[in-house]
Amino acid sequence: MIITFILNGMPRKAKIRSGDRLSTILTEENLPIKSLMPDCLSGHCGKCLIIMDKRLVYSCLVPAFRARDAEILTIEGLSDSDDVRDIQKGFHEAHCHPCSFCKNAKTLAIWDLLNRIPLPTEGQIEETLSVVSCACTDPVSLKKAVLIAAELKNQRKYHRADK
Amino acid sequence: MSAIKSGEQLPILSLLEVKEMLFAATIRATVAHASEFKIQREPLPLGYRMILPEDLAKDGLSLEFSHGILLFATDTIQYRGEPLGLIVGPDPVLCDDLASNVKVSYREAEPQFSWTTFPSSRIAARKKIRIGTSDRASLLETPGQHRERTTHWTGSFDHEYSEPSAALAVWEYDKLVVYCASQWPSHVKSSVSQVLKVPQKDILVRPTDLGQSIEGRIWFPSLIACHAACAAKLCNKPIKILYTRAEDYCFAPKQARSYITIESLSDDQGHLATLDIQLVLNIGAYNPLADELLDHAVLSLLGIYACPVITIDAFAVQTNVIPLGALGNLGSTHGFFALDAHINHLARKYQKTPAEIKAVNMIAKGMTVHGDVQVSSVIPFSKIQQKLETMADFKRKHASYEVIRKRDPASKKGIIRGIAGSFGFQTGDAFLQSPEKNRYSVEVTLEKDLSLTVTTEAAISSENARLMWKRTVSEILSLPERSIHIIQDSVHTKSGCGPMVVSRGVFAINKLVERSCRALQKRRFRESLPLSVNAQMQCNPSIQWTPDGLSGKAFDAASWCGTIIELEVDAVTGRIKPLNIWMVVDAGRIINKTIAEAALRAQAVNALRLCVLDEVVPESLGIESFLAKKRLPFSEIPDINIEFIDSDRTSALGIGELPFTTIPSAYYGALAQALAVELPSIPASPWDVMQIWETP
Repeated sequence: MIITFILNGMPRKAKIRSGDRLSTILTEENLPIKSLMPDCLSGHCGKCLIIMDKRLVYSCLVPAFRARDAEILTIEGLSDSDDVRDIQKGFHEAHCHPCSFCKNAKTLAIWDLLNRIPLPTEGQIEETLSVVSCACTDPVSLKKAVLIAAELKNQRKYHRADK
Repeated sequence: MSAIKSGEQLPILSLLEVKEMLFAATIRATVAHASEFKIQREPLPLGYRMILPEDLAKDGLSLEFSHGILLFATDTIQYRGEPLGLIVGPDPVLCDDLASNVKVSYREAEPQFSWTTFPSSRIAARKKIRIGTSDRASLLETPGQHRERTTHWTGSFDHEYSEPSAALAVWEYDKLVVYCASQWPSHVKSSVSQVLKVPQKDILVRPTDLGQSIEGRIWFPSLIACHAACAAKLCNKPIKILYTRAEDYCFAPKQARSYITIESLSDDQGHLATLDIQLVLNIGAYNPLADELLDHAVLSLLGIYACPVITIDAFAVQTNVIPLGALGNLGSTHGFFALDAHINHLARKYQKTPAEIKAVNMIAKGMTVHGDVQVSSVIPFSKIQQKLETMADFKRKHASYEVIRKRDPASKKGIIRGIAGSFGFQTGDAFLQSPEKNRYSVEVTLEKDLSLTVTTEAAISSENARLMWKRTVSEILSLPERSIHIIQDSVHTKSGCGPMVVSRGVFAINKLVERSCRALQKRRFRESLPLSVNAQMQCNPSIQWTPDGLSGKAFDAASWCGTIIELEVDAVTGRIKPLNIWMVVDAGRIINKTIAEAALRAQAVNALRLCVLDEVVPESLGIESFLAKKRLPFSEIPDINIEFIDSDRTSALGIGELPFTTIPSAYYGALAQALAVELPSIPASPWDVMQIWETP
C-alpha cells in the first residue's frame, strides 16, 4: 500500500506493509529524517516523538497507515525556527545538557508544550518532560531551561526587550 | 555557544551506516543450563550466513575473550540468552528472525539459581578480612554488651542505557576499525586484537556517543565488538550488531545482587565492639570485574566506623543467570546500605537517633583503623550533619513523625511520613588491583589561532565532564571556553586509558589537564605556537589490602556526603512517594558549582531509581518483563537540594558516586520510620509494604 503524507511541509509518499509502524517508515524509507531513535518500540523511551496533526505522539505506537494524509513534523522541520533556537538557548543558559540520544525528543516535547501553553506551570512542565525517559540531565536545570525558553519566546512574541 | 570542532561530537552508533554493511544477530541459548548442546545448520536464504564457534576455530580466531570467558558457548551453557553464534545478512529484521528460529538441541542440566547457599565450585572470587582479635564469648558475658544480627538484600537493576548495546566493525585497508560505545575503549582494542590474533596496531577503536552508562559499559561492549570483528573477518564485509531494546534489557549485564548478614556486639551507648559480616554477591554466569566488585563492597562494609574487631567473609558467586555487575559504583551501594541499616537497627534498639550511634563510632583524625589505615584528615561528619539538619529542618520533622507514629501505632490510614539521613564517602580509588585500569593520558595543543584542543583516549562520559575540563583550562590559560575543544580520540596508543567510572576517571583527567596547561603556560610566550603537551598518569591506589585488613590513607582523597530523605507512604495502597532530598557535600575544591550540582542531581535521580523501581529478576527476564517495566516519571522526582561545604582541601574530588552510597540508606531509614518496621531489602515495592503491615 502506498500512502501520502506531509512531512515537515513537503508532500511524501511511502510504501507500507500491514503491521508497519510509523517510526519504521520514517527511519527506514529514504526520508531525510535522522532525529528519531525508535529502539524500545513500546512508548517508553520517547526517542521517536513526532508531532502528528498537531499532537505529540510516539511514532513507534502509531500504525503506519494512520499517517495517510497526515501532517507530520519532526525536529528537522523546526531546526531553523526561532522557537527551537529559544529552547537551545534555554538549555545553554540553564546549564542543561541533554545527551545526543534524547535532545531532539526533549526539544520537540518542549516546543509542543510552549506552543500550547505560553507560560507553563511546573506541573505542566513535569508532565510534558515525563514523555521522554532519559535520566541524562538533572530535573532542576531541565525545568529551568523550559522556563527560560518560555520567557524568550514571550519576549519575541510581544516584542519585549531583554530584562 | 562554541563552534563544534570536528571530532568533538561523537557519532551515534545506531545511526551509523557504511556501504555494503551487513547485520549480525545473536543466536542465543534458550535454556539456563545445559551440559551439552548441538546447533543444527539449516539452509539459510541467499546472502545469509551462520557463524558458529567451529567457524572461528577454522579461521584461526581465538574463542577466548577475557578472564576465561568465551565469545560463544562451546560445551556447556551457563545462562539463558548466552551467545551461541551469529546470523549475518543484509536485513537486520530477518537476521533476528532467523537467529531466534535456529534449532538447538540441549542436554539440560539443573540451573543453579540459589546463591545465598552455594558449593565452593561456584565461588568466583573471595575476600576474607580479619581485623583485631577478641574473645566474643567473654565480651558477651560483659554486662551491657548486646549482640544484634540483621540481614539485608539488594536486588538487581537495569542501567537504562541511552542506546542498546551495539558495535560496528569496518575494514579500512589493512586495519579493522571498530565503532563502539564503551567506558573502556582500550579494553575493546585489546580484546579484539586477542580474538583476531592480530597486533593491536591493526585495530582502531573509534568511540561513539556513550550516553548514560552508569558503569554497565565497562567490559560488555568489548564482547559485542569481538562478535562484530569476528563476523567482519569471516565475511570480509562491514558488520553491525545492534541489539533491540528488549534484547538489551534481557541479555546485557545488570547490577549484582547482594545478601549481607551483619552481627555486632555493642554496649548500651551504641559503641561497636565487634562486627561480623558475611557478604555474598551474585555475579550471574560470569563477570571479569568480580574482584573489583568485591573489593568495593568490602571497602564500603569496613565503612567509617572505628570498630576494633571486624571480620568479613565475602564471596562473589556464580549462578546460571545473565552476567551481573556494577551499577552506579563498583559494588559500594550494597555495603553502605547494609551497614547503615544495621546502625539504624541499633539506634532503635538503644532508643537513640542513628546520628548519635554514628557519632560515637565515627572515625576521627589521628586514628588508625581497619588494620593499618591512617586517618590523617578531618572527617567532616558533624559539620555536614549540622548543615544538613538545618537545611531539612530535620529535628522538628523527625520528632513530629515519631510523635504521630507513637500516638497511634495501630493506625494505618491516610498518609504516613518518615525522614532519615545517612552519611557516606567516595574514595579516590577506582581499581585497587590492576594498575592498567588506573592509567590515563591526555594531549593538550594550543594552536596558532589560540584555540586549544584537549585530546584523550579515555571515554568522555558526559557533557558535564567536558565543561569541567574546559573550565580548568580556561582558569589556567585565561582562554575563553568557546575556543577550547575536548576530543575523544580513537584508541591508537599501546597503553591506552583505563575505564571511566562515574567520576573517578573524570577527575584523573582533570588533574592531567591542569598539569598540561601549567606546562603550556610556562612555554606559551617563549616558544612559537602551536605547542603541544602530553601528560600521562598512573593513579596508584591510596590503599592496599593486607592480611590484616587495609593499609594506606583511604580517607585523605575521599569526598564526603550527608543525605536526608523525606518520604510519605500511602497507608491504603502502600505507595511510597519521596518528597525531598537534601544533600551536603564536601568534595574539596568545586571547579564549577552549577555543573557539580547538576551532576549530583542527575546521579541522585539514578540512585533513587534503585529504591523506588521494581528490581529486575534475572531468572525470568523476557519480553513480558521488559514491557511491564516501570520507569520513574519526571513528575515523581522529588526536590533535590544540594549544598557544598567549604573545604580546606585544594584538589577537586569525585562526587558522582556519592548519591549511590547515601540515598538508598537514607531512603530506607525514612521508610523504617514511616512504617515502624525495618525493611531488609532494596527495593521495596508497595506490595512489600502491605505484606509487612499484614504480617502480625
